[in-house]
Amino acid sequence: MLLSRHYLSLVALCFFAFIPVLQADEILDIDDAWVAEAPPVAPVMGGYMKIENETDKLISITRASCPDFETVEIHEMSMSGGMMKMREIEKLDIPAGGKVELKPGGYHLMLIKPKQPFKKGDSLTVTLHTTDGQSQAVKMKVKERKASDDHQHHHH
Amino acid sequence: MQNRAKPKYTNAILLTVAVLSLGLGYWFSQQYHAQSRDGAIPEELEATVLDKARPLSPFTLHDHDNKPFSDQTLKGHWSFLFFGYTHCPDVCPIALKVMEDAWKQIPHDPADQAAPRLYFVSVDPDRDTTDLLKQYVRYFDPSFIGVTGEADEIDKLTGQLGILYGFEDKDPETGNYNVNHSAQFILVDPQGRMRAVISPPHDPATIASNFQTIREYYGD
Repeated sequence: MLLSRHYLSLVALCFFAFIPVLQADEILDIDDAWVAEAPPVAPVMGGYMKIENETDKLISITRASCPDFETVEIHEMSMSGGMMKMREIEKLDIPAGGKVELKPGGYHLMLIKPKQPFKKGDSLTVTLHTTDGQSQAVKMKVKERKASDDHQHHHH
Repeated sequence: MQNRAKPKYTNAILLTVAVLSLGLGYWFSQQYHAQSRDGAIPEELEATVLDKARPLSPFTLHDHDNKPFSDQTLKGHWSFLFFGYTHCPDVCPIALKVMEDAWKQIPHDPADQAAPRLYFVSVDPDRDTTDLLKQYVRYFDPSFIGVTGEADEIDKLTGQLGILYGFEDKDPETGNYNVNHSAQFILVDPQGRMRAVISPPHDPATIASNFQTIREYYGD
């Protein structure tokens, strides 16, 4: 009897353990998620991805987190008054049925203070948190930057 | 009397004209000579070449080996200067990556005193120690040189090169802050004068070929 109750709790535990996974329904369609390899001493790394919202409701990403970094911020870069300006944004809106691209020279994740150095080929998982309290884990691959990543207002 | 004075006058006028012509001729030739060395480059370039190279007034910083870096250090070779900071997630690593690729097309034997140099000047000396800077820039190319120093001295250099930078407010929780900064490369000639400005977006092949053109035109 005792054994079977333990057995039952174990089954229940397994069952409940799966629930978060089931709940982590992919609310956003994410492609090409990558982190630019940086010098091993670099205090920050830039993260990029293509985010698509296939629902009919606006989804706002309010926060990003990654256990491998001290903090993760969402930044917007822009050219203003002859300077490249970096600004942390409160939330990143992905319009219903719309797409937003995080790319060099524009929006990006700023991954601050890595707990260990990352090299190309490594991967890490960043969790995106949305306004409605949902979250989505995104696997990001560390890749080498290319000089052609400099896409900001290309006039070629 | 008047008739005899006239030729004298004429002689004086002729002499004056002759002297003036000589002087003017000399002046023109000098101007022309200066023009041929210092005028606008005839080729179409993406880089903005200054009509007249601008000499730099003194400043004193240090490189990533703690050796002095001043206006004198910039003499004897061409130099590319970029201003940024290592906590930069995007602009600075992109610029250095571009130069890493451009460097493969520009001869830069470090043993050659006249070889071009790339200096990455950190405008964030509070966080960018020489050691951090050294490891940071050398990741891109072992010949790249990190530079920083006192804020006042950095401003002496950025001010005369038209480089702007500014700090965003510190995050009270984490102490993190961002640095806004210009993203152009400054090209300094072997006489230590500002010669050209290379604005983003940057392309390695264009930078390399523009540099070769400028270097051939103005000489070392």
